[in-house]
Amino acid sequence: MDNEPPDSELVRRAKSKELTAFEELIKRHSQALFAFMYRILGDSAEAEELTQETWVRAWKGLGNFKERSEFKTWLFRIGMNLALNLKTRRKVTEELTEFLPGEEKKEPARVYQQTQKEKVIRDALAQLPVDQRTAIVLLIYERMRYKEIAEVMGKSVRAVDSLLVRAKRRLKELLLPAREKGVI
Amino acid sequence: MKMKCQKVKKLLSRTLDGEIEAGLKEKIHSHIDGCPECRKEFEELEALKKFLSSASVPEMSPYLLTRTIARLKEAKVLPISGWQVLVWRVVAVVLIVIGIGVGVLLGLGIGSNGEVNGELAALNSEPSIEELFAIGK
Repeated sequence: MDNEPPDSELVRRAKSKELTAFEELIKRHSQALFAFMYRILGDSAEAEELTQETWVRAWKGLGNFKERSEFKTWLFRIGMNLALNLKTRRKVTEELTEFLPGEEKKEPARVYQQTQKEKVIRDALAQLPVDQRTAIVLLIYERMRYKEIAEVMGKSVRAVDSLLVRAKRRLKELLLPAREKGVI
Repeated sequence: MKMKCQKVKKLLSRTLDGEIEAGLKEKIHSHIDGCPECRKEFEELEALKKFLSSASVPEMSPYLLTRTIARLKEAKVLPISGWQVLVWRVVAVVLIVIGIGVGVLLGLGIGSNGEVNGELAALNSEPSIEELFAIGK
């Protein structure tokens, strides 16, 4: 792992039109990018399609990446804009019934419990306004600092703080029924 | 001076996310220790974060990487640098100017074209006697 070149080096090589360096970046960040898109869009087919599209845009626009932020931050910003455009075109109401890969290998009782929990979380996230959802997804699942979230979202750190406060307050309200039912 | 609940509550989210300077963090925790209401709110936020974090990671299709790389190769696109964009813009402007110039010149050329003028002259000229007889036949 230590021998792996940092993103900055791969970016430099990719800027010199070295596709293999860019392929390495694709391998490194696609899973995180897909998970992010999935949590924003709530649909795995659309998340995959937009993950691919994000990479194509990133490759085309790599020359304009000034490296003032991390490559991943820049990449997620492209992805977020694509997801927001798609959501503007169609008002999403995510009602997912998909099982996440790997669940079928677990014991039935645990599968059921985990599936219920996943559903509760997805439904609660889906009810947040998209900017609050994006901020909370980046915080919880990408473990980004407020500054990084601000960079991805093109907002100030103060605005991100405010979004997160509102998102958490709303999630507490939304998750209360599940809490009473004992899912949480 | 002790911090007031209202102020502490506003900072609980940031405190939990580790987005607060050490000195202030210490003051907030000192307040939380002695205030059941603020402590309850902090613990609820902690529990929420823990619960949300427990969701499994949505896994992408194993074919996504292959498809993405294939799509890039099919598209045959190459990264365009900032200066290339500038060059393309300059080229586009030059081509537009040339296009307009050629259009103007062609327009002028039509205006001075012999054939067109000849046709106009024929329309304006009076027919000869032979031509009038020919029409009469």
